[in-house]
Amino acid sequence: MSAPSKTSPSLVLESVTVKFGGLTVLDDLSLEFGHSPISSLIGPNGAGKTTVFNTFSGIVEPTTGRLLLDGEDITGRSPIDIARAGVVRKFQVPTVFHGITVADNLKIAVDAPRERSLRQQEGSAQSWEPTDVAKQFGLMSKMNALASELSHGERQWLEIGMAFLAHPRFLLLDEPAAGLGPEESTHTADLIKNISEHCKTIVIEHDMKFIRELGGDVTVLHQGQLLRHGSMEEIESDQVVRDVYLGREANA
Amino acid sequence: MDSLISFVLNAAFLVSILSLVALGLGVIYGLLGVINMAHGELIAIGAYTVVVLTELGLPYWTALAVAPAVGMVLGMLLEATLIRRLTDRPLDAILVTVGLSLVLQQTLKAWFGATARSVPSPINGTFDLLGVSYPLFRVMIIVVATAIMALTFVFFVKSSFGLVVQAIFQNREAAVTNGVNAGKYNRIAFGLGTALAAFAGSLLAPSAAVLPQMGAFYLGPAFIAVILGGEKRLLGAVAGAAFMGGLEVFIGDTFTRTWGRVGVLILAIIVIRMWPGGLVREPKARVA
Amino acid sequence: MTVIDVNVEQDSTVEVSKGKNGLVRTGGAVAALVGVLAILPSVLSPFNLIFAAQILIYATVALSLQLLWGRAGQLSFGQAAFFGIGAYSYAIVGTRYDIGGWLSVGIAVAVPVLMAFVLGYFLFFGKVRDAYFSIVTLAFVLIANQVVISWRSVTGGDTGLTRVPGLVLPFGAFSIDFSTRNGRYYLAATVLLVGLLVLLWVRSSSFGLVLEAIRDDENRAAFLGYNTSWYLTAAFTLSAAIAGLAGGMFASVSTLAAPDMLDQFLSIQILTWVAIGGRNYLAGALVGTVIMRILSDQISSFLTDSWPLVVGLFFIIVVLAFPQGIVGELTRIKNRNVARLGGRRANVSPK
Ligand SMILES: Nc1ncnc2c1ncn2[C@@H]1O[C@H](COP(=O)(O)OP(=O)(O)O)[C@@H](O)[C@H]1O
Ligand SMILES: [Mg+2]
Repeated sequence: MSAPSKTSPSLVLESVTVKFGGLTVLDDLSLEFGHSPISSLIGPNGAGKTTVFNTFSGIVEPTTGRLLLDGEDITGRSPIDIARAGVVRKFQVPTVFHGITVADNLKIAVDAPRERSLRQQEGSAQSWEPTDVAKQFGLMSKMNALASELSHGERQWLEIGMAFLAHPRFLLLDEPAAGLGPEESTHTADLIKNISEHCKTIVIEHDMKFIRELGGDVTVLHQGQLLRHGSMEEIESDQVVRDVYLGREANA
Repeated sequence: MDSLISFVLNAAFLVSILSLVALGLGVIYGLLGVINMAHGELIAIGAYTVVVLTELGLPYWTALAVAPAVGMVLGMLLEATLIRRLTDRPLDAILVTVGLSLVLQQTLKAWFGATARSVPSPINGTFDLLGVSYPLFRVMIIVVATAIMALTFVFFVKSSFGLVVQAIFQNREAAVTNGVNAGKYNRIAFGLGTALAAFAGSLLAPSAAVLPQMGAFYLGPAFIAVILGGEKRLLGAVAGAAFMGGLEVFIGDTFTRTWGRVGVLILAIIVIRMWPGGLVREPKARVA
Repeated sequence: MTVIDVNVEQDSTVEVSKGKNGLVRTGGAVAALVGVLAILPSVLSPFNLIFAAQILIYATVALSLQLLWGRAGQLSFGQAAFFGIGAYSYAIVGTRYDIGGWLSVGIAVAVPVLMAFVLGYFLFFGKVRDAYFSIVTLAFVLIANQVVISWRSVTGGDTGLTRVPGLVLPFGAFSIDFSTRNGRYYLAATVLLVGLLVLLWVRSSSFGLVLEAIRDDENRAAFLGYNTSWYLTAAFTLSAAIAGLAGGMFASVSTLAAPDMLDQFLSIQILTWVAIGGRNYLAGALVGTVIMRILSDQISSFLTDSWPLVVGLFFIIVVLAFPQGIVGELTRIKNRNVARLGGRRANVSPK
């Protein structure tokens, strides 16, 4: 096992194609994350955003192409191994352990097994305790409630909190603001900005306001291909992006 | 050569019974997601129908029509009273059928006693095939069971009912959003499944000891046949039954009956493990 | 930020007995159980004492299924296989090789453990779960039963093995004779307590917590990095160890090993005990077994042979109307009363 690189961490798709049957979902796609503490992945429905996350977390194996973590080839590794290497995700549909308490959910996350190099890494999320996260995410009063008793928003926060506690180097958040009200959404953006000081964070979202609040760089995906990459201002003023995506939303 | 022919006939007999049972289970499992643990008792009920009718002096052949009708009515009744309440709790539905199995078996015992009943074979001759003589009645069973299976398939492939069932098999949610009354189909499918089991029982009655627990022998292998075949494919259940029955007779003939049974169960475990989606695999996204 | 007040009474039926309070309560319950177990020999007739001993061992096997089903979420139709393999292992080494003492106990545990580990490893790492797992366990108990019935020279075939020696366990210079009438009862009580302590440990450990997480959502656990197949294999093996211990000691207590100790019907019965008592509760396995065994004894004395009918009906009613079983219902009623007495339980955020 290679020692944790001193260079900035990176998570890379290298010419990745993913096909389901005859359907090409990712089309010779190359992406690199890690330069910016926080990155957003946007694109119309069906663009392949969730599939990018599924590829990163080992659920979907690329038909061709490679997956690199800090330069190391991790293509074909199991989801468990990839999680242990510090790539942790939150699902599009909030997924928590509904039959146990919030405190136990957080405990399971913080106890998740990790590669030794990751445990020893300094300044990462490792020093966080469940109670710290519960305070940040406003879950203190719910610690002894079952996860099934939480509201939708609280469940989103719990899952983000769990992913954050699970010693991530890359935190992949699939639509963390889906189904939240405007206030909750702003609060969530603040939480994610705090988190991104401790680990690289990649966010899939539809809500442009939310992405503006997050800051960071933006990658636009369209039909499984990279359309544009840049800052939010660049993206918003880009005519091609407006045509395929933003324009459509504005018209809708 | 002789042993080959008798192997083929023995295997065909077991396979045809097992196929009917597995087909019934498969229809129920595929459509309702319920493992019907009381399926074996439906076999016994089919066999006891023959006992009752022949004791009333009616010819055996009437039972072949009455037994599946009894099975169908009973199945639809059970679905309407019990299973329907548990559509979103598949595990509990399995448990309820476990309880049902105990109740039905005991009811049969109370009615008919715990000692084996027997039914005289309606046809006594033997059938000579290349020097091997085989009970003609068993040959009849093979033919009748095959015909019923063929009918069942035609029904599922050609009838509008069958086409809807296939649609539900493929994608239940989509079918329901398209306005399919899933409840109705559940009931008919359950009844159809139990009718097939009862029919198998009525075919079995003349060549088996009729006992309340007689179905248990077929239940395990039939489940495994369904899973081997792939739960979403009706023809798969028959393929699975052919695998299970053929192998059991083959190992049983070569070694002992126990080894036939044990060997085929062990192989079935291995196959379930190696090909979890059935022997014919479909590409699937990887899940932990 | 938004503060969401939840003004509903806690209606959950899931066991929450963690923290200091829970520890005290659990300790109290175990102490009470030990007390009852200690009194029984002086109040029961010799005949009933052996009957009670058998119930205690059955309760242990029910606990072993509760671990696998209630906690880890995998339902076994073959729990009797490990019980029976434990019983036959103990009986075979005792009657044929004159092996007793700790070694015979070890063998009664080790043989089922080995089989469960191999089978569990093979299945769980092959992604066999849920209904498929249940079916395989059904196949396994059918296999075990066939083997035991036909391997006459070793297992005694249909009649099984009789005159199985009782257990004498040496402790240094001392030894405890568990083969006397009272000794057999104490052996059974010890087995139950051992099983119970193991399960209490699991409940309070992070191992048990991860099992619950896997039961709720295995993929989520895997994506956090937990090797869920290992956890399930471990749960299956531990469950078989307890069932095997119970089986071996059952052979010792009842001095025989017979094919009906490892058949489908016993498996199903164990299942009904756990479900009727309450599948998500340790106490459920105990309560369910005790009630059903005593009822079984009472009813079969005047309604010969219709016991399975009663079990079946009872079982159907419980699954339909009270899926959390007797203990689950009682807990729910208690929680509701607590909520009513203490006013509505409101979770108001301090902010
Ligand atoms: N496991 C799968 N099997 C078949 N098609 C899939 C699978 N996962 C995703 N797809 C298809 O891939 C396309 C992209 O899906 P997804 O990545 O979820 O898009 P997004 O998250 O950008 O909305 C969609 O057309 C979807 O139907
Ligand atoms: Mg998506």
